[in-house]
Amino acid sequence: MNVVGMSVRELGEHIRKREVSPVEVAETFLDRGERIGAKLNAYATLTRERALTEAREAEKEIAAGKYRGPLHGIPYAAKDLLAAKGYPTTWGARPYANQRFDFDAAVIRRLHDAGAVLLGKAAMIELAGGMGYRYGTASLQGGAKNPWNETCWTCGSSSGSGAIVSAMLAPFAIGTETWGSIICPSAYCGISGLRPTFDRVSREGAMALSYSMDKIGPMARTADDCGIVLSQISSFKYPRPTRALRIGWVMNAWKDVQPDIQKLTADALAVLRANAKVEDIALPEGPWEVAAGTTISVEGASAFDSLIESGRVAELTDPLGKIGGYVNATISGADYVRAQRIRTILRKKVDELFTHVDVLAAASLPVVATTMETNLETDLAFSDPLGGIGNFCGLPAISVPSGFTSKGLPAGIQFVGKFGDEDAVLAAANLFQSRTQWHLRTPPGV
Amino acid sequence: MKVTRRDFFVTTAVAGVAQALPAAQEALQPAPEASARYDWIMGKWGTRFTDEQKSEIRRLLNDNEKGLASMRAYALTNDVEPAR
Repeated sequence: MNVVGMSVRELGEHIRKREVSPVEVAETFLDRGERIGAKLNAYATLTRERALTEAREAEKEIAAGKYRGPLHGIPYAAKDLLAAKGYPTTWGARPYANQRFDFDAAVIRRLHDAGAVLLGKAAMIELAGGMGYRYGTASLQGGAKNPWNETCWTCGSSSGSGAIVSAMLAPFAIGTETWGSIICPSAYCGISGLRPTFDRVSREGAMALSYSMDKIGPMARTADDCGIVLSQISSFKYPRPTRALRIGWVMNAWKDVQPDIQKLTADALAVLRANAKVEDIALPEGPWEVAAGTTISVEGASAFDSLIESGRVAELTDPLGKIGGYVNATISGADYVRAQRIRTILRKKVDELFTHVDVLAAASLPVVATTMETNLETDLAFSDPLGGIGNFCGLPAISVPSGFTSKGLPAGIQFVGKFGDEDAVLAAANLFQSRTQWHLRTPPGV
Repeated sequence: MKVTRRDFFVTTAVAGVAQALPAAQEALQPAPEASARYDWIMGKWGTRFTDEQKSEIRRLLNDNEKGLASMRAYALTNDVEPAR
């Protein structure tokens, strides 16, 4: 049986029925990780020994009738900012190249308890972009190549997680987002990625960038798979009964949208209008992005103060990363507190928005995957109010594929829910994927 | 108030909020706060940087200051507490 490209749900059923062996499944994906993963710079480390141990244990338990649930025997990758006992946890950055922890991050412990099999640590942008970065190559592992076009980047900072799921090197991966780091790679790579509500998933054992904005979430082929994984790494219950949805189509999410994306987004909107109540909606205007950026900058400078103070930021790969921390370290306490007071105002405005609708929807990004050489600072400077608001307020969101451009690159549509309402974003994404086939496409040549 | 620009991929997000002016013009008109912050960095860590990096830091601080100024201009009453 060819298990490559199966959804978590589908593969889990075959494993439960003992139609496939977890050990053979793990070996298949480890082999792909070695062959294809290396070519894409997708993995920081393959955890072969651990994977086979966990797979053998799963096989033994299932044979003995002890079935743990939908992730039992399912292989996955974890972003390399999550501690995995005994293996390197590099945070994608040269100063931490030899860092190891003697414990697992909470999310990896939860997945272990669910019977999942850790294949390896997914490559990432150095320090999740915490010191700033100008190029997609800003990683100890090198730039992650996009499986849809290897001259293009996967986006970051969960760059390896995006490549791994897209290239079918694992049925799912764990990513993290402070601002854009799950949604963007999911859109660039043509996969489904869920950013949970802030604090939904424990951050214990994860690298801290922004204490009040970091989130950990699943990236997979389908929204349904994201729901399954989230239910295993948090207290979130999934699936839930279907519900009628009121969707707010965000009119001011992006200022300039590429023509190909415009067309695909219009088609996606037509699908939504045919299947749910959709109304146009406008995001409130205010200095939300500046306040969110101030928060990340200051919290990041605090999280990495010893790296900045020691001067070892000079060992980072990216020219902006070498100096960004110094700039961020000079932002005043008064400005930081002002940003948090603005966050209070914003939360009230956001609560008001969600009295009219269950989810907000918009294109995930106004552009498709860019080349590895693109200067992100000068060539891709655009406002992202929905991402800024969503991340600053800790709102859940999901990006799912919404089509492909004439050059064969994926586009995405995102759904954003109110605080704590992953149910709504998953319901919207599941609805969309029940009416479209884009999530079933796989990259040629992998 | 309208935010006009952000470097989507650059998490030194404040640096990218304001519309950048041409480099030469920026060099002539640094914000006083940005100059003070630049002097503080150079006083503490100045020997670590190349001339090119010093110039970049000055530019980032100027951009950063414009973003912060937009945030400071947002009206808040005394009873608005910081979010927790």
